[in-house]
Amino acid sequence: MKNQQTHTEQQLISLLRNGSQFAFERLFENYSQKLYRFSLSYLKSETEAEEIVQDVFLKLWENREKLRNETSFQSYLFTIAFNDIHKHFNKKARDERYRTEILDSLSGENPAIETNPDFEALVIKLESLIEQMPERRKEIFRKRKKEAKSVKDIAREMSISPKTVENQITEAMNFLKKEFGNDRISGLLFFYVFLE
Amino acid sequence: MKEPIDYKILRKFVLGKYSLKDFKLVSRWFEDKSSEADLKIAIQQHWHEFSEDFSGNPKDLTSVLNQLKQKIAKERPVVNFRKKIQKFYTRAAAILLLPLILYSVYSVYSTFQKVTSYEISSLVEIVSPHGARTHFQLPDGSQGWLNSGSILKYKTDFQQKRTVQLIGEAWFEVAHDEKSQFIVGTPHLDVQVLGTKFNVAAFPEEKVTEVVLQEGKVKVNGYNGLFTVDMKPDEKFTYNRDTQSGTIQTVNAGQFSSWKDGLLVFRNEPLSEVLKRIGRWYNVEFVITDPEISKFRYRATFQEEQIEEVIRLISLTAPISYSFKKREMGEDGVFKKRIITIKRKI
Repeated sequence: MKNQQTHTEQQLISLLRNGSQFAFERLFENYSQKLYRFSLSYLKSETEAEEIVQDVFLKLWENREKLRNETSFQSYLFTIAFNDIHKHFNKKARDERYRTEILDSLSGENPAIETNPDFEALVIKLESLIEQMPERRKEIFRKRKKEAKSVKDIAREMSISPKTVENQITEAMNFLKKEFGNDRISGLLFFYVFLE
Repeated sequence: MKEPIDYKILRKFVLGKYSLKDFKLVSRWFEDKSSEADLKIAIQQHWHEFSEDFSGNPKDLTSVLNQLKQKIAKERPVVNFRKKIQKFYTRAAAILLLPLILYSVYSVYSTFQKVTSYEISSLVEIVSPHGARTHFQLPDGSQGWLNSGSILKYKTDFQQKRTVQLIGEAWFEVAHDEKSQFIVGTPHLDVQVLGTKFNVAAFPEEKVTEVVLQEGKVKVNGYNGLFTVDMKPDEKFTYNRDTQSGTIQTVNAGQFSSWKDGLLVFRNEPLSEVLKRIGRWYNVEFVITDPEISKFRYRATFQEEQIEEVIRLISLTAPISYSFKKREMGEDGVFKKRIITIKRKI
């Protein structure tokens, strides 16, 4: 990181308080990389980490007049970042809950799923297995698990009997159970490396 | 249910080596309101330890910065230099001033557009050579004086948009027109007026830009939303481009525009300021050998004198001695500015 600063951080902060775009850009240079990587470590998504950087600095600019000194700047920066990461994390966790729930239910058969140290690889494996399912089964399974629709609603939507819906879901779960069997999980790391 | 936060698990999570069980725990800490304070402490700890030296290439965040710059440019904040008075009203003022702010943004934009469209539309340029003062008259009836070594530009459609660009110093007497504001653009700020008398000094070689208002009302706008200042008569606004800060002083405005009448007026001003203005007036360069003498304050009025006579008169009352250097020819065959060395009288 290049840090050839002619201004001290204190000077930059007081310039920022007075609305200096120059100071804003220097502070961005000084903190954006750290903030990006920090956010990435929690959100595991480059796009979301970039969003955090943008949002934090925008809020910093909007509230620049409240900044007092170096300590308050640092803690302010962190507080905005924390609140943002917190919000993003919860939204993400809600969106991805179905995956966690599927894996959770699979772990009843194979407890290794719960303790396998590479959860991210398990999620990737799960997604690619769902992708491999026959079109109609995939569609029914997604509607039921991801969109959390009731069996009745899915049946009506697709003009099929509720029994067929249930059968398809059972088939899908059996397929996943087999693929997430004990012997398959051990080779997971290898599988993950290939996906990358 | 408040759950204690396990640093080790949190650490595994951020490093990407975590199990479903770990993830469920981390998610619970995030979701559970009662854990939020503890979670913040744990993550703050992580933030402090988070290394700023990254191996590998830094992430290219230029596009993020560019988007930010755009968003910032749209907002035009009011930063008053008399902060104390304004502090309490900042919020209210921000709301009340919004229409005004939008209007200023528009006017600045149109100034920029003018500058950028100079290539395609014709431009009038008034140049006042070194050592001369030039009177000018604009199509709307506004008039003024252009000081030595200054340039004033405006587009031929000036009647539609009263905007001029100034490099150097000028005195303006703007014809009143309620419907059309008059804008003087300089490299660091612009002055927005309805009808008034004022002086603007924006010399590229100097780090300060000055606006002195004699009559009426003007608004001085820094670029990129740096500041907006309303000026009252007999006020001088000084913007320093190095520190990006501005100050307002109460002055005798007439003194700053006396140059247009061929007068050099100094009222208790430091010698550094006196010599700066004399240098600009006569197109000479002063070399001051002892910084102490810059602080000496001086009071005088000169009218139509030769430079030799002016310096002689100053040396009679100030503790200085001086020497003229022969003018040198530059590599391009043009004579350089005359150099006068000022020393402390012993």
